[in-house]
Amino acid sequence: MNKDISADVVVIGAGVCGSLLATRLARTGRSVLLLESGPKIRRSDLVRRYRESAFKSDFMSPYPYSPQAPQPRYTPTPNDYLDQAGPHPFKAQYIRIFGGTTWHWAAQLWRNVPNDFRTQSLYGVGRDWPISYDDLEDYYYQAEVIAGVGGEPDNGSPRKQPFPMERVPASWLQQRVTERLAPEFRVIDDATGRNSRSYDGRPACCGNNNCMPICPIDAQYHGGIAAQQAEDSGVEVITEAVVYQLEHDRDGRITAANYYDWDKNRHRVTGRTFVLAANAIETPRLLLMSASEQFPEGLANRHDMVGRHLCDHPAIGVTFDADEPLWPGRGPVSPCSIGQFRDGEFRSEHAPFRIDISNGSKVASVTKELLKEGYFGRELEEQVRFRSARRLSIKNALEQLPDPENRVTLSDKRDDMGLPTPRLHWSVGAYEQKGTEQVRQYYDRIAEKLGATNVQHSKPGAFSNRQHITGTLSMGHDPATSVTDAWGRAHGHDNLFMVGTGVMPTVGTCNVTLTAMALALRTADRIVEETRHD
Amino acid sequence: MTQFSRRRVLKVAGAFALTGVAGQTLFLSSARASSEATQNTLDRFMGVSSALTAREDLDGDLARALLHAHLLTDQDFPEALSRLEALLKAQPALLSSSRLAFAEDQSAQEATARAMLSGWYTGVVGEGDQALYVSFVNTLANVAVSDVLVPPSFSYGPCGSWQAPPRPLQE
Amino acid sequence: MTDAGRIVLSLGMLALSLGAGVARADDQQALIQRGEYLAIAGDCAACHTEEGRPAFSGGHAISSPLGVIYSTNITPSDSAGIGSYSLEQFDQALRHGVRADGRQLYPAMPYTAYARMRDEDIAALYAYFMHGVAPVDDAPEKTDLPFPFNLRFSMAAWNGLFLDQTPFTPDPDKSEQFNRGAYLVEGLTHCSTCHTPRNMLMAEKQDQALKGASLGTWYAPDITANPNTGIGQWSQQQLIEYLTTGHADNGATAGGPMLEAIDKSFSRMTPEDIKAIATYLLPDSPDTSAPTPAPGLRPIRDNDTPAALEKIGPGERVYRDSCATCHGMQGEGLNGLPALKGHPVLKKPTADNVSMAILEGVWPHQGQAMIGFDEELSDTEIAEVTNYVMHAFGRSDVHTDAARVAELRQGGATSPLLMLARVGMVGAGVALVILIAWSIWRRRRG
Repeated sequence: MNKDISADVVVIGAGVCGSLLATRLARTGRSVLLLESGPKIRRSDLVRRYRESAFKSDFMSPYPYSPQAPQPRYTPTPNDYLDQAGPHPFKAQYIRIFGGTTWHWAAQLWRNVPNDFRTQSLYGVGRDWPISYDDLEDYYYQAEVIAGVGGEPDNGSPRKQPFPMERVPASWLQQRVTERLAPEFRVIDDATGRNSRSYDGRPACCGNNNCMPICPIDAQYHGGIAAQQAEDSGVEVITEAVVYQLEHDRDGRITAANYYDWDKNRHRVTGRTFVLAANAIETPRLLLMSASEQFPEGLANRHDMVGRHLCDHPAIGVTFDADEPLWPGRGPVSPCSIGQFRDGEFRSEHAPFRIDISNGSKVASVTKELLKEGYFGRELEEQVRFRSARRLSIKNALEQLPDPENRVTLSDKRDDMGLPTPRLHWSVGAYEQKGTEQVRQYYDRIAEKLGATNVQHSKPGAFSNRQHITGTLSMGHDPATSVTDAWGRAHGHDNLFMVGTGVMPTVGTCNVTLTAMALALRTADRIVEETRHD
Repeated sequence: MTQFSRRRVLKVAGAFALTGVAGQTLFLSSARASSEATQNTLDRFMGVSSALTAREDLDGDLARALLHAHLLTDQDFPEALSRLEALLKAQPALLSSSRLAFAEDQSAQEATARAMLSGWYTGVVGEGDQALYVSFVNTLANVAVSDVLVPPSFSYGPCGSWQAPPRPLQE
Repeated sequence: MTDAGRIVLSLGMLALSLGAGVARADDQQALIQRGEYLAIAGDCAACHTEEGRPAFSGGHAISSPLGVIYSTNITPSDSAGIGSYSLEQFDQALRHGVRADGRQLYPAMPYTAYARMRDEDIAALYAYFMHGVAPVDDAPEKTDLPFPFNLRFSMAAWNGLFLDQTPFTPDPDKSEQFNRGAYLVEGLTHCSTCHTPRNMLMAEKQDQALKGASLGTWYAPDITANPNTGIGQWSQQQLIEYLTTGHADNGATAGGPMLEAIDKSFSRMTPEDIKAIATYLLPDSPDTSAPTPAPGLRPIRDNDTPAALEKIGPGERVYRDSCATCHGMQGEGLNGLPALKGHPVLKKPTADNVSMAILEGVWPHQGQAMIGFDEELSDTEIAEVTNYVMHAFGRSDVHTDAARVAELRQGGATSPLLMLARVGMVGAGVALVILIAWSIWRRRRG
């Protein structure tokens, strides 16, 4: 074992949340150590790997895979890193790399709507948060300034300050769809961390239409930027450090984190405060792996709450060919959505949702479809143009209610480091199914309004993941029903905090990163306040 | 848990120089390419490709690379190519319908035709674990729309240039 | 009579009765406005306004190996600025490099150029700085260089050698427009500060005026009308477009300190003045050139098969992964994003500006920026891609290496001053002169 390393604050996981928190703490003069299981990567290498990949439709394919810090993979063959135990497979996708999963995303940075924080009180479903929208408003804004967020101001989430970024000009597709769906459907600009002008050393979007898997020019904010900023702010970074166990004293305070380097040498780091920021599946995994004599069920798990309430936005999709050329593929991939079904009295009956309209190029997917249909020769070429011009693809972000039976546990399998892999149990209930039926009807109505032909719904009964993984580290006042308190502190472990989407008790109807960033900044401030006299 | 990355490495180690892992580029040795892809096979590959794509202007470099990838993913590709060539010569009417619909006993030839078309249009040859990258920007799919779109990861233009209606380039 | 009519009438009478006083106030207002314009043309804000601080309150840091030189507060504050200056004292500072307290200015302040300015322009600038600028009582950090570099008096000797105090005299054989251009270029817009090479004591070499000089990092190219080394092949219209927008249809795009000068100064000058500058710099060039068709969407084509990728060199590899995204596979540019093929920057006698653009990016105030690659790429990679671009798209033999890129990354070659001071070859006075001159050399680096 190597010599001990020590820091005031040890952060585990260099994704966007861990990195923001680490940066803020380092700027107060605290020594901060940031451990990341994956390697560092460069934007230009990802661009090259994307262009030379045989699996371009899989956004994970440019990202290096390492057996030491495995991540779920589905193409060309599923690697079964996640053991699926439930009726619905939970096909989680995350990147274990310096910067984390937001290396590939569409920079959707949405605020919840205020009622998302109290669905139990208002609608008798879900769980109330221990905090309100107002508690988070200022932190939402701080996170928006960091990422340079712009969008439609009137999107259901009230703001005290205007967006720090002006809207990215709407593509032709967005203009046409907005016009043709009005007034029945109100299509609005998404809230995105995408530059429409130079901001924070990054240029305006040039319409590379490659937000996922990698923006070649850093026009959108992502975790790689946050992680680099942490390092530049004086945070000590150790990559390829796979934390497998936390140590504690008799009072339950965390004393050390043990990790393997990629050659499987053991290392131990000590600190005064520990922050877990390893995502909503890997953080529960680490808590469960850290079981000890005193905590045989794992840390922060006295009431068997760790890993429960696993949520995502169970999505269905539709594609069709509109009756006019829209040419998706010009401009950013996810520019607009329909937000009018995100809140209302109906939430007591069925799931609310947002409907998302894609502007990603459809050339590759319609080409595969046409080849499958047997087209060839000139007709193939003409059809590629015809369908690429008209193909519209729509999906949804539908709120799933937290269910304790949906959960992350440890499987019997081991990864290359000898560590148990995650097991997931997931099902989609009646509340969500009912909401999904609504969604499907709206899809048909939208298709109709756009003169659609070739309408193809996703397979009935099947749901795809949106990778908005929440609930597994839920914050709450009652230790019997939550894992962390209102500040993200583990119940029963005074110096152990958690950040990331896992602490969100409910998933709402929007992408979850901004809320997690705001919560991480709030937790950072709390740690600063509490450790002021250390 | 499946360690597909390693399995792939082992599988292809003899034939390719491998860069990257898990679905990344497999660089084909150019020396091997020239020795295997004899001019004769290449000519026949070009001829059949032209018939299938209805294009006379197919790119020679891309043809060579596609042929090489077919040879690597399918040992019997030269024979399959010959059989398809012979069939098309015997029954030219097969290419007068709008979709490929060969007779049942010609399904092998149809599969070869589809694989070749797929190579030209997607720049990928082979499927699943065997899929090989051959080209990105020169795929016929990208060429077909190149007056309106750039391949993803290339810039469309300065911010906001996509507001205007998409208009085919005025030559 | 309507209410509105009544108001007009009474306003008219008021104007008549106050006529004389109003005229004086109008004159003064016009003078201040003219002064404001001259301050823009002289780009005073480039050094005296620090981002995030009030206008002209100074504090812009110019780092030197011997310490940081801070620009001063030139607001009309009595305590921290120049509020107590008389017109004469203001003139002494601007054209002669002497402060009100009698101490010499470091010629980081381009008074050698301003010396050419006319009295009435000095008066207008004075009116503006006294009455058009809000006083700010915050004093910026003081420049505090260690001995002997804190001695300012020897600047007098340097001025004796190098300060030409003759005001501008128009050439009667040339047009008014030409003479206006000459006045601006030689004086107010102080083009020579960057574009004229300097001698051993860092004074501008008058016989090589505007023939191009390195600022340590960015290279300020030859802007004479020489068709081979300079900009003689530009039309006047192209130069006008360039100075107004930062790019021209001959493919030129501004970067670094020139882009800053365009954003802060040239783009805000009158069309007449910009035309005058073009007339002076390009007296024999045609007004306009054949219009270049607007670049549309062009197909992205290149051999990207594995066999081809296997053979490309390291510079091309970097180019494809980091540059081709916006500039195209063959440097042809994309739909309004700049082409590199035929770009004037590739014809310079040095590759520094290519490397600098890659390191820092290009950041216009308005419009599309280019990201910098200083964190993304190594010195070797930047040298390789610079050479690739110079050779492949510019057919230039000029090349660079990793050592030079490392130097650029650090802010340029180490000043000769340090070495001179260390080995004691020259006295403190000369060293000071060099430091001061060196600070001029530094100030335009951006």
